Amino acid sequence: MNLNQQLEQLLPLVTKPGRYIGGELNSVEKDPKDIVTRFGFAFPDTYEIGMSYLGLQIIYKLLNDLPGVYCERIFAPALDMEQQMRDKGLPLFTLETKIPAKELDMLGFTLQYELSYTNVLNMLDLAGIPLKSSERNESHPFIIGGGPCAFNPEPMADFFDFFLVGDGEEALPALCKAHSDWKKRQGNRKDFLSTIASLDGVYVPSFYEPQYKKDGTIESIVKIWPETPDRIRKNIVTDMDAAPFPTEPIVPLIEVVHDRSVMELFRGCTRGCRFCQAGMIYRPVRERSKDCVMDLIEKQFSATGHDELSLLSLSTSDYSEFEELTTELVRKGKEKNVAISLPSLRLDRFSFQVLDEIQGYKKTGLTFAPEAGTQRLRDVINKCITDDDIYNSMRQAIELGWTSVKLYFMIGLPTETVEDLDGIAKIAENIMEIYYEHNRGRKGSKFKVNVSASNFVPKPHTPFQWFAQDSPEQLREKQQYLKEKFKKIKGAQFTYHGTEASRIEAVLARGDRRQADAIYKAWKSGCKFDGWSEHLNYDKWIEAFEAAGLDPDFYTSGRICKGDILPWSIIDIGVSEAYLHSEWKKALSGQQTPDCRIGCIGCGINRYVTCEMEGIL
Amino acid sequence: MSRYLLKFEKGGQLRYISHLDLLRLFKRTFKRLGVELVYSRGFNPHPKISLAQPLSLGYTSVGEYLEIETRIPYNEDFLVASVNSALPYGIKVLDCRPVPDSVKAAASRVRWAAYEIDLPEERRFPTESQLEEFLNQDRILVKKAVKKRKGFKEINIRPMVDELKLAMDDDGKQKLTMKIHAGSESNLNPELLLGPLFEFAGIPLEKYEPRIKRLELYDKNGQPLYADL
Repeated sequence: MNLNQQLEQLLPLVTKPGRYIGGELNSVEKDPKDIVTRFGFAFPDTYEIGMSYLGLQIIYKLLNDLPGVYCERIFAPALDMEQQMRDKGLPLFTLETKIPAKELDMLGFTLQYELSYTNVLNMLDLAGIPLKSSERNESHPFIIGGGPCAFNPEPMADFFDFFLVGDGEEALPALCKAHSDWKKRQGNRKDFLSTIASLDGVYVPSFYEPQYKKDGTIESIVKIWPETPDRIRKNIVTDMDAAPFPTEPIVPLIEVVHDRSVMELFRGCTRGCRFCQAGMIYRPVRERSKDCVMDLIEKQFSATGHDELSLLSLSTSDYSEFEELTTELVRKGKEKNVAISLPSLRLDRFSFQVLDEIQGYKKTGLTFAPEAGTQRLRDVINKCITDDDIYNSMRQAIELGWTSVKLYFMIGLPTETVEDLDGIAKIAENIMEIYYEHNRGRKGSKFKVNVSASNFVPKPHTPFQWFAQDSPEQLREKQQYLKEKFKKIKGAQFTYHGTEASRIEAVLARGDRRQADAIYKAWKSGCKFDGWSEHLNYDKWIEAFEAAGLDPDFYTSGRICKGDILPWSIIDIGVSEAYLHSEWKKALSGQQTPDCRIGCIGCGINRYVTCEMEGIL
Repeated sequence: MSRYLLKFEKGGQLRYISHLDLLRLFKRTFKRLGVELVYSRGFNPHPKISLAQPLSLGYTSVGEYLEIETRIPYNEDFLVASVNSALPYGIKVLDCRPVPDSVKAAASRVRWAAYEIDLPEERRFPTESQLEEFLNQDRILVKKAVKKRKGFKEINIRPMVDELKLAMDDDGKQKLTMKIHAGSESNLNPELLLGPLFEFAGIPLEKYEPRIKRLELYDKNGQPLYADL
């Protein structure tokens, strides 16, 4: 019985079988006999989540545009499907041709969040591929890691043959070329890895060996292979207009998390929030021109038939032709019956005009991210908005008829005090007051303030990488404190995130190579889909760390960062450590750093590339 | 404004996409093709497009119907050809007919549905006489889940069954066919009938074993939805 027939027998037994069938509009069919490099793009979560990720569509297109390369997709099967596959001996397979993942040349995992690490191991295991790179041989695919977590590849270093750090648009074609050359000369595994180690952004962990001090920090990183680079510089695509973009994205047959067209306006962010990893690792800002954006959108409309389009970038309003673009888009959307959604907006007068126009009477989905409850703490984190900004926006929103707003905050931020927590409640209270004022003093309220508090997780390559994370107990205490306060505020609702997931995330985010054993043990004891609160098993994770002889507190407290060499120092994000350090210092003294569109703030990225947005304001 | 009724089949892997997924698929298809559907008014306009009767996940069908309203008239053959060129493998439009204003919406005309049941090699069907005895009962009581009360109620499904018989397909393989209530007034899921039938005949049957294909949808006169168009 072939894999397809076996699958046919399983599908009636599982929920949402549409996840496993492939055959979607714009998925690619190629004749395998013309193919030199068979590439698997693996997303370590379910189909619905993976298919909502733009990066998948970008990479799928750019690889399949290459002759001789065939990129197919692989997702983590849901638990019921996994059970069936294990029972019936069905290996992890690709959606396009349903071949076993083990038969591919390369298998690239995107690492979007730390809590997907156990899913990577589970997928390798389901594929019948040895988990550790040292146990694999010429018969196995190369296992590649990419995405934001590849900026600290160390916790997963033992499991990957290599990582590809930064933008993939130019790096992946170069990699495939190297692979095809290597296949022609019939080299061995080591031969391939040593060839690609010289490519930009390629990190081959087995060529390096960290030495540790007694206190657990890193003494030095010894190079096993002398010609390998000292540091790995991330790949940066400079011309976004020339970069490949999926004008014919795959359109899922079943409902996924985001069922819509997506347009990436620009990469990077100039705002410099000190907790934000994306704001540091994706520098500099690189925009697509408005003409290019409109052209790509037009093509997507006709290739997908979607009825919604969302703009994507870290801070949409910062796009230099934002007003012109949105005006044109709103008109086009009306003409074509396509709803436009604009996330991460700065709430100024123009944004309200646009939102008013595209939302009509259905005024929902207004969000605001002050992140911290007081001006003092906002100065610390460099979130440059004021109380006045918040209240003026809310006044406008209420006047225009919005009936709810969602506010995002973080708790456990460095230097946080009880006043900062009180500030969160105060903001919600004041917004309700503004509503009552508008409502001529009547307290009967239809208006809702939904406050969501996430837990601060210190991330590598940020100015806050040297700070500690609050313990789960501290975080819970703060959550309870706020929960009580919010009970007394009519019209306000308070939600918060699980502290255990945040702790595991923090441990892995700043992890070193010794964590591989703990991650393996956690997976072995049954941990998977850790990012899903119903599946996370915190106790098993803690036991796994104990069994591996590691103290989670060493990582969350920031003791890991006491040394001169950090586990992720091997990765050069372009932003200098001196800048991160000075931002850390300025945080402690509550000094703001302005947006670099006003003037260069010396983050160091322009040592490598030109900053188009530097000082444009 | 014009109305059309399209008859289509759904098979292959596409049987694993749901009613709502299928509706979305058709909406996107028409949008890509530039077929101008009529949209509802208001800030959240929706195209006028509906499926006559939901088909359970996993069933195949050779008798599905989709009704659309368009802003301008289209040639029926053109609609069939262009929609088929844009649909994924597994769905195929068989025919398209204009619907006069006097005819009610397809979804409200459905009264009966015919199904064909196929079983794995190792399973056998009840015999002709068992079928007859089964239907000769005054009442066939089954427990039906009630969503609102999250409980079950017992209902008599005998009046909902019109036909139940054995048939032979072209390859000489035995099948069971049935014609049962469908639509908004009274609806019977074929699996709800198969359970008590096999139990009556003393034949074990696992839930996932029957492969179910819908053959046709009928109106109150017992005619296919197409009959008078």
